[in-house]
Amino acid sequence: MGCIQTVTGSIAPEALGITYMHEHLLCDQRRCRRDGLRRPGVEGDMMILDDIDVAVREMREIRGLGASALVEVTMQAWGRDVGMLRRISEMTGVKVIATSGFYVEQCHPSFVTELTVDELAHGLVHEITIGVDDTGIRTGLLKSAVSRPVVEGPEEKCARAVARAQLASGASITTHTSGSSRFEIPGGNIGMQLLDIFESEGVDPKRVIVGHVDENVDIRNLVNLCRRGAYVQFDVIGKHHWMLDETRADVVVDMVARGYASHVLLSTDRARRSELKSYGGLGYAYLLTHFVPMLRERRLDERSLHQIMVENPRRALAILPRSPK
Amino acid sequence: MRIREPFKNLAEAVPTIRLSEGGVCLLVVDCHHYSLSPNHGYGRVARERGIFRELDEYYEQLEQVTPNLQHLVDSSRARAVSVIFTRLVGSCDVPSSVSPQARATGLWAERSSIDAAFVPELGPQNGELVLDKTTVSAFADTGLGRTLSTLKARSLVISGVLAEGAVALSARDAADLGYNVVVVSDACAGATWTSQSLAMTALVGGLVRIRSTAAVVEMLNGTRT
Repeated sequence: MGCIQTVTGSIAPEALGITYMHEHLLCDQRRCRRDGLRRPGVEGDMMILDDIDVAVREMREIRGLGASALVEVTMQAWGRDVGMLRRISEMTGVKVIATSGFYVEQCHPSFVTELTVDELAHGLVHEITIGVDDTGIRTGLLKSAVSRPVVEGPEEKCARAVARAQLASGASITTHTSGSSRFEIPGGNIGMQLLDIFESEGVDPKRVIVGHVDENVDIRNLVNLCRRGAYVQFDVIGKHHWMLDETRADVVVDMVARGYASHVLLSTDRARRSELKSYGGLGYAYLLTHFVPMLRERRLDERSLHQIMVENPRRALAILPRSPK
Repeated sequence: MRIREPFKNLAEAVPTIRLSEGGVCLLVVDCHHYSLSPNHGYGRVARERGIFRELDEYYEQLEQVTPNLQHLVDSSRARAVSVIFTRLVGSCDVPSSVSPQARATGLWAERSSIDAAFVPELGPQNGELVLDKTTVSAFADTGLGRTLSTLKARSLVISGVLAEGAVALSARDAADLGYNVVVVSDACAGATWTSQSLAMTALVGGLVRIRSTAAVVEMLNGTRT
């Protein structure tokens, strides 16, 4: 079944327990370019997490609640620090899987415009197989992100690089799917277009996690993504401006009832101070203290819950050699 | 601004458009001295009432919005996109020269005053069209619809002030009339940062989409959707 690469080393998939599939521990959106108006002197609600003590405290809390691992999806151009992630993991006992790839174009590193798709892919494969920079710390997942209502321009270039890195490394791909453009995309997220691009490069959709599906849900679209083989990830749990958690819970249970329990993943995508308990927010713990009980209230059986929170992450995060066609 | 928008989840997706295929006009809403210059119009009225500080957020936004507007106008001219300017003006001697709604607020410019003039860096050039509004929307009572028909416009890029007022109303009217609408988020100022952001969030849907100035220029170039 392959192995799972954490920032503290490779582990067997069976060693992974309850896993948060899409989170940030350290990130800094101030490093990104920014279109649009910006209120002078006000950081507002930017995606900034920069306090390791806060991260450690909140990771210890979820460890105490039974969490085993967390996927950290911050990319290199806006604050990924694999050394600090390893330190947090060692201090808390929570296994952390770091990610290689690209966030939306405003956060692309400058070399994206200079390098070819294959050169970009080579860099990603290096991080998965050798390590990030000279740290020796390997990442365990790839990430592709789209901000536009169609996959085009530099974001398409990066998506193709990620696809080629998937083929070369065997790591899965997780995705960020156009939240601000969601009302311009049939089905509510860019997953279908991304799958088209990944498949055109030869990627098996079973190795793709369509993220942020709970920003704008159309269950028909989720079913179609699952039918193509992809995972659908409910990963903005607790963010009620996108959707009520009651609705999320209903849809998760509905997906299980339709036979797609093996495709569902969960997380909270905490990326702002205001979202952490230490600053008065819901924190990472909310998934286990509030959302999982909501699923149980809806009579989601424990076997399905275990599948969603343990077995699916094991399968999705396993680095597999390319299967012969 | 983070608000729930459950009805937008029900709507069909906003269709994609290709501005580079032509049929585009740029509408610059109410960017004359009355609105843009702190010593005129809004700013003068606020000073008279002793509450100029209340407009700090508005003028803060204009410091960023004005260069974006200039860039947008220049880019449009360079690509032969028609630029249309509006201003809300009337005559103090003829009360009926502005709509009852505008008259009730008192927030409009006397046609013959400096308030009604365009600021030098952001005014019409070479016979570009100026529509004198008597209402808040750019479509009511201005003949804008006929003008756009004459220009064979199918898409309207909208910028200016106020985001939650004349810009929003004009965008909704344009969409209702069947135009593809692009509202330029960082080329629109609102009364406050919050109201500007809220207006941009609320406008998306149907035939209305929101883009930044940089994105609109890319759309005009044909390098993005």
